[in-house]
Amino acid sequence: MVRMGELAATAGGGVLCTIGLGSCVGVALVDDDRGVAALAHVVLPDSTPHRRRGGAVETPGKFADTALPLLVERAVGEGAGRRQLRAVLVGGASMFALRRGGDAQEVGERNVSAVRDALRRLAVPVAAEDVGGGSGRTVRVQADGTVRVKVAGGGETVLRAPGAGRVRATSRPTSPSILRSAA
Amino acid sequence: MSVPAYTPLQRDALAELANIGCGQACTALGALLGRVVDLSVPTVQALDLADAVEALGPAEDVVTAVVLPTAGDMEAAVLLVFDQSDVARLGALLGVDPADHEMAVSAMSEIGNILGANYLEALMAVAGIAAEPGPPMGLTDMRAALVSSALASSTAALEAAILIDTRLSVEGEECSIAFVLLAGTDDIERLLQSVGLGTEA
Repeated sequence: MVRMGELAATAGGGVLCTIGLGSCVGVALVDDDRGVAALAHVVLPDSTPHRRRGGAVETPGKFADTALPLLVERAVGEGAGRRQLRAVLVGGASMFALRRGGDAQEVGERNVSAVRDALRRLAVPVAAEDVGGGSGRTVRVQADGTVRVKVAGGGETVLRAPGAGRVRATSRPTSPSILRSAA
Repeated sequence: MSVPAYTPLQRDALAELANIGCGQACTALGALLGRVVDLSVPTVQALDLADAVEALGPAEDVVTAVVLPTAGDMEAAVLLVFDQSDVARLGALLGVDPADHEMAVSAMSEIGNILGANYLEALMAVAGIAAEPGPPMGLTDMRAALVSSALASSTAALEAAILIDTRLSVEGEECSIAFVLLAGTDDIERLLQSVGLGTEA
């Protein structure tokens, strides 16, 4: 179980799971050949406003910019090949639209684009994703690279099978700005 | 972690503030439902975000959540979580057709609005803070998805959430509504100071 703001990695027969992702983004990193998977539960896009004096981030797993480098490190620590890592993104739905300091964009949307930016900086390609929309999701990641997604009241679907470079997402992002940043 | 360790006395004070708010809410909710309503707040906890999500119940269960934000001097929000059985029961008291889920969610938003607004108003009045409750937002989804999203979208509750367990009874029918105050530790400190229980005092 990977809870809000946490991250974990597994090798061999392990399964990583995050239940009920809303605006948070579950980021899975997989290396099929070596049977290593890692999963982060990212809550917010940017750690900058939340740094303590001295620049330290108390909870790096919570923010996209600090969680992703740590996640790559964990996956490699479990034996994954740095260049064999593929990412799978799940979540970033638009849920409660609370006003947040005049920032019009939704938390979910900002999380997704911050995760994509962080992955680009780390040169990790995105193999599959199921992001945006307005529903919560549960994600299960196996060490062999299988990623399954479930929505409330629905069955589980395979978002990514082992070896697959890109499997079509089961639901399309509804927000035009998400579509734009995906292009 | 930076979850503040409130003393039993401070937690009692937060519970008492919640009780004052609930007292006001009872009358309004009773009028809406046309029944005798009783509310009590037995426990208050300050929890880390991940622990708060867990403490509210099974993560994947489908529930209806209502969020009521505040605008003004204090950026806070109240989150109320209703089990589907309570949605059906409370909806029935308001004359909602059980098959009409959209109406039921709207009814829960109204109940959440009354409870949340009265609670927030009582807190603000005691602490002398000028803030007004905004419009309620209700959604039905997986519990963890709703709770974590409410926590993530509240600027204030980045480190910890104040969990207030609330029992609502409507003429003998017991409903248990989870009630969460999403407020920053600084604002909680202001509330506690206003009743003479500040940490630095």
